[in-house]
Amino acid sequence: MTDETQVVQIFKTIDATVGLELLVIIVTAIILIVAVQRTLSWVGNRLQGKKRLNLLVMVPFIRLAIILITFVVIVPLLIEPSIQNMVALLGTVAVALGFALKDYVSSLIAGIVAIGERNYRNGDWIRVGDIYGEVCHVGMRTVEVVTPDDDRVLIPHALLWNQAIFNSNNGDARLQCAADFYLHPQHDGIRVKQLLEDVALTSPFLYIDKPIIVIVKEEPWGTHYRLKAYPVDAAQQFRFTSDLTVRGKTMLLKCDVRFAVVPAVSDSE
Amino acid sequence: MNRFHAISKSGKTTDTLGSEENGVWTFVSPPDYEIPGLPAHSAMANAWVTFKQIFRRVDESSQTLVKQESDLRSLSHVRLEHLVPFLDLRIVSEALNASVVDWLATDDSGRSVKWIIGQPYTDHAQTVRLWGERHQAITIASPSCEQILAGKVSWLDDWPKNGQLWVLPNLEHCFLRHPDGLKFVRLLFERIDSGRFGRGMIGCDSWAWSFLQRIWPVSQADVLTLQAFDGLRLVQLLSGMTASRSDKRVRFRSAANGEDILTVPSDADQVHSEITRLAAHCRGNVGIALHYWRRCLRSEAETDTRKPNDQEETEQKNELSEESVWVASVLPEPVLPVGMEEDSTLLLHVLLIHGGLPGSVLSELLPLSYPLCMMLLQRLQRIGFVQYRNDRWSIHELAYSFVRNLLHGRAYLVDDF
Repeated sequence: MTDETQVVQIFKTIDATVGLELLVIIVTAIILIVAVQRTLSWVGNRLQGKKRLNLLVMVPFIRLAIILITFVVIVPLLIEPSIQNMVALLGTVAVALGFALKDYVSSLIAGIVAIGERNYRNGDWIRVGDIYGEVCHVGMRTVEVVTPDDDRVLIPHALLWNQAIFNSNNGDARLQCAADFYLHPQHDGIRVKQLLEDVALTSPFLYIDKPIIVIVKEEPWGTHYRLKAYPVDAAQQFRFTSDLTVRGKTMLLKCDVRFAVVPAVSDSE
Repeated sequence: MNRFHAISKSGKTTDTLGSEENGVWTFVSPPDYEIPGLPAHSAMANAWVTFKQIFRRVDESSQTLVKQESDLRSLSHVRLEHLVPFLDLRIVSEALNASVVDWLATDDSGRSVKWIIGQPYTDHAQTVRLWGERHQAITIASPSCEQILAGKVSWLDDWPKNGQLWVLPNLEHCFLRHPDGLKFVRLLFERIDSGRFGRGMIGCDSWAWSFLQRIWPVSQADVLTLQAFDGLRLVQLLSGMTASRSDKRVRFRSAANGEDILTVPSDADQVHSEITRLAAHCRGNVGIALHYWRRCLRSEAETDTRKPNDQEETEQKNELSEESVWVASVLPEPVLPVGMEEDSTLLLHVLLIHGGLPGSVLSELLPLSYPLCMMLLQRLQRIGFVQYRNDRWSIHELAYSFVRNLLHGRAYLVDDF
């Protein structure tokens, strides 16, 4: 009986006016969030490079700000904002959520952490497990990724707690791409290295102010060349890698460089 | 060839060559190139137009203004030739000569080659060629695209020997952005650096230069470029051009508000904001500024054929000693339609890097098939982005500013000017 009285004391009496006020505040917040998300995403997708990323990055921050402001405005309408009341209410809510919606809340908190730590932002290219794609929306519970095959994948933020997240461009407009060439070991390495550098240097997709690197590794079956360079825009990475591969292959064949042939069946068999 | 007249700041007409005095034609080191700025209100207007373009690719407001100016008609070629004749590049080559006279007089084998970097449409090749003729230098023709791709470096073996002065007007046509297309320029740079080629002058387009500097950097001390045309220089140039061909007083008036943008001759030293805007829009590129200026000039349609009364007769007498030319308020510029951006951007970029290209080599330089390249070129030609001249596809003068902004916005390699 005493507990019931205490709970009643925490909450204010909600009459029709307060109810309407709450409704207006919540609806306004939702409309604002949707408007901001859609407008900034739409404008951002019509821009290029750094401008696009800078604009898209703002979306989750603005949404979080709107939610916090809404929360701060709503709470005094519902309860007497004393420390005692706040502790009692939040404690109760925390226990209830902890049991009933543990994973959901975990994702929500991870979402706030992800926004704060900027682990991934809109426009970043990330890999989580086997999923690789461009972040197109950082929601409160999930991050939305579009893969190169145009699949839309929703990844819960909670994966942040126990899984590595690879961010290929980390807020930058450019990311490094690599094209692999597996060659027969008998060839002029210096010439091939120079040739591959020229292949990258003459690619129409190349961002010329970033370095071009050729890494050479000798393997038991031949020589592995890895040509690394940056495209002008992260979205061009697949066309860029294809261009490097196709033109690299053509040039190597023109110079009579043979490609490594690995036996399909191992010697032990 | 037309004689060029320039007007000094005092408004006095002088017979050509006052270049050094009035500083219209000046060659400077590339870091000293001063891109003209916009007046604050024009900068805001430009930012607003750019912002609007994010939402709407074709600026409808510009169409409304053109409609308002529909009463005016474009000038005939004869009249245009009178008001804005084509540049006499001999004057530019004279200014170039003045800039290199010390270098030519000294015998410094360490600095045997001068590099003249030209912004697009300023015809640096002809300027260098004319300079070469003045000094009886041997003009070296650039190799064909087929020669470049085949790597036939015998072209370099025919270089003038015995210390004879030479000029290579088009370095931009001596390479291709292709793994096989860099052999020539690398050898060329190497032999020039070693001093084997003796004394000479090389002209190069600013876009090609930007790319080649990533391959073989050259000391800035040996590089010259035409100084940017700011509002004042542009006024001096346009006034000089008009004064050289017209006996009348010519008033260039804004079609939007009737203000005098330029009056020739005039004692005033003021530069109208429209000229400043034009200079800033063209980033000081005189070739493009003249193209815009020609395209913006209009005359009134002669529709009234009734007999004049006394007052009108007096006005007509005044008109005999003065003529008005209207200047359209909107710079004629094409806009790239949505949906043809990525491949078109690659195509436009490769054309700029090479100072124009024959259609046959495009598929060698781009990850696009030959039919696709030709289809894109035809479409771009229809909307005024590219033109086909002298067997080469190149960017249209009026599309250049848009294309440069587009490429710069997308972080493609652009020139320094």
